[in-house]
Amino acid sequence: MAAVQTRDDKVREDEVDKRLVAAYARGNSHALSELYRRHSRRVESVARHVVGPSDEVEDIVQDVFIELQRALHKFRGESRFTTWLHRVTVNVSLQHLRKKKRKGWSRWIGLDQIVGRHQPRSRNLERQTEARETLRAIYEVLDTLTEKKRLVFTLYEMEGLSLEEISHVSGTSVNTVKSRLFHARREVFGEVKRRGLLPTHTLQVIK
Amino acid sequence: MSEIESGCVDDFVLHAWADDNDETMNDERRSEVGDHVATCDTCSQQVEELRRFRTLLLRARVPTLQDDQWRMLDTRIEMMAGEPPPRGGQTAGRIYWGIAIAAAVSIFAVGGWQLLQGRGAGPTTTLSEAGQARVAGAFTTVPVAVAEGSLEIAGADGLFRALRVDDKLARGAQVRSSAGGRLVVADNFELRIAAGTALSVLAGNEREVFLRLRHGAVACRVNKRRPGQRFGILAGRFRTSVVGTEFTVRHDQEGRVAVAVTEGAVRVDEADDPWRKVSETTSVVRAGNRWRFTGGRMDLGPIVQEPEPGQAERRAPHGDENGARPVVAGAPAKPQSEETPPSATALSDSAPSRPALDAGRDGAALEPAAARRVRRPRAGSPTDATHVDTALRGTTSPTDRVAPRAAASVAVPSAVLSLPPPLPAQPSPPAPLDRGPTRPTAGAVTAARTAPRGAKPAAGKSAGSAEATDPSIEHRILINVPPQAMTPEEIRRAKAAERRRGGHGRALHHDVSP
Repeated sequence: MAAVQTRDDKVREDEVDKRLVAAYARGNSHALSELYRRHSRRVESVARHVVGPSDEVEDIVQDVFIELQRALHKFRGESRFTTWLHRVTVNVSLQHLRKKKRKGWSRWIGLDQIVGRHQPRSRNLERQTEARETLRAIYEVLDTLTEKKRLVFTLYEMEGLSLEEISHVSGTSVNTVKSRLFHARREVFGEVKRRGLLPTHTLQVIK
Repeated sequence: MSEIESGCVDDFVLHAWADDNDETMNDERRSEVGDHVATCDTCSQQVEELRRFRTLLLRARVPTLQDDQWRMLDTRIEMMAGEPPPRGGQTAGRIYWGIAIAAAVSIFAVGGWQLLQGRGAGPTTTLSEAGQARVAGAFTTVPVAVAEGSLEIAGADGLFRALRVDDKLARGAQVRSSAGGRLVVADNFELRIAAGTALSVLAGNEREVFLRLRHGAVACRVNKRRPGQRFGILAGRFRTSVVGTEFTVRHDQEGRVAVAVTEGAVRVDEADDPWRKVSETTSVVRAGNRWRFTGGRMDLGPIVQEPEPGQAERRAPHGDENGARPVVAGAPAKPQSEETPPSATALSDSAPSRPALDAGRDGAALEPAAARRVRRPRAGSPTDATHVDTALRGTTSPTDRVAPRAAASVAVPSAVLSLPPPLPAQPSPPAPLDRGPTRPTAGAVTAARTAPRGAKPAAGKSAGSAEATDPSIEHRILINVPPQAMTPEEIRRAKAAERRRGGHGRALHHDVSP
């Protein structure tokens, strides 16, 4: 995990990003490569939490950078580059979902992979099946949220974006984001509890 | 607070409190709620449930891509980043990647549909006749007939492995050679690839083979081009299409491109897509002439031969100022062996020229994406200053990717290239390569419109002096086909394309046959 960035770090990083964008505009194709190197993980992470557990994430990340190549000249530098990039990522991801008409996380069939990666050492077939069913149930619960609420909930709770970043990404105010987050939390928690999905113990480290 | 004083707090608040990193709650408020939770059984129980809930969310996090997926992605993006940045918001790259994806996952129908929809066709990208042919043929592959030497291919999975005879070159494939090799595709397109060369396949099927020379050197020969076949090399932002000729193209990482024609004619235009219509900047360069793009200007003129001591008698045609003949200070010119075909000899410059290519073999420029992944920090981590500095330079310099190569290039300022050793398999050297060094020049060069985007022709510039200032010669292509003029069909199409753009169709009218 990268060290927590201070505000100054972020400003510095943003300056570098903007210089890279300017270099790309001047015709230096390596700048795009460098932007990819710096931000691919971030893009992948956001895309993954917008579209859910899907094997389309890889294509989405690629599409984001294709979009970036095409639209980088439109970036005016008024906001932070990462904010702009998040927004592009979310837009491309949502576009992808709509194009595929795939609305739910739970409809993805590759849950075994997630279970396998969360519990790599578990060879107990019964436990794996149970874990897969739990996961499917959680995603079903997330599917009950509206798209807007799910976006806020997953980006905040699972991806760790700040409220301000989510407000930029979703094009809404921070207060709206807060409101959606609160309601999403209440709905998800209530449903999880109702379905008896709560684990019997907590992890030592929550985040 | 009143709510706390009056009883249990709202679950909104408890949610925030249960999350240690929640930013909706300030420290003071957090402390207050904490005090309450410590004394309230109901809230305490609910907080416990909320913590378990958060554990559940943690387990439900969608895992990141796996290593092989990252490798694949890195390769694709690396290829895309190697393309020149689009100008004016064009979306040629979208087409390109549409195909790359489709080739990678073999989803013909999806990719074909996108192309048929014309998705991504920007204002300057039009599907011409050739483009339509591409729809039919782009997803096929071109078989490898011969693969010799240290050739490696990376497919959509991003992994490099040895290139074999039965392999198929699909669009998007990357080919590299660490120590040189020979490749024959489509039965009649032979490439001899120098050490430290990297190519990517832009089009690979029986009808057309277009390659992007990322860096390095390739000697190409087309044997008996069949009707409708198209071969070409994209170097930088210029496309060199085989019209029926023998010529040399060089391209360095500063964007300078030089084309010297020793037989027949070539068409050079500004295009970063093999299927783009013939552009307004089309130049038809006839034999004995050379075309250059340096310092943002295009320049047409005769090839000037400057005989070197001891070499004037035997120098191959591409040993001209554009021909990348190595000149090493203090190094005596090495006579060519009698058995070696002239073309091969000229391209396989021996000992004195090796260092430059050897310098390019350090692998950095050819470094597979997988290797770089290891170094890639997580998003938001401190910047790798070297990478950033490299990318931030206004124009790419030879030092951007491979510092040792740049150093060698400076030390050996002339065109220093060493291609793979002469191949005994060549039955007979192509006749044009045996010609004397000088060809007629007057009137043999035609430029339809020679000034792309503010470029001005630099007439009268000494080709030799320009060559001497060329610090790094990293790309050279020799395409050798039997002398053949443009077919009537090609001329007709080019004129029609010119007229459609509102031009006068003069692009090819002014050709002066050699």
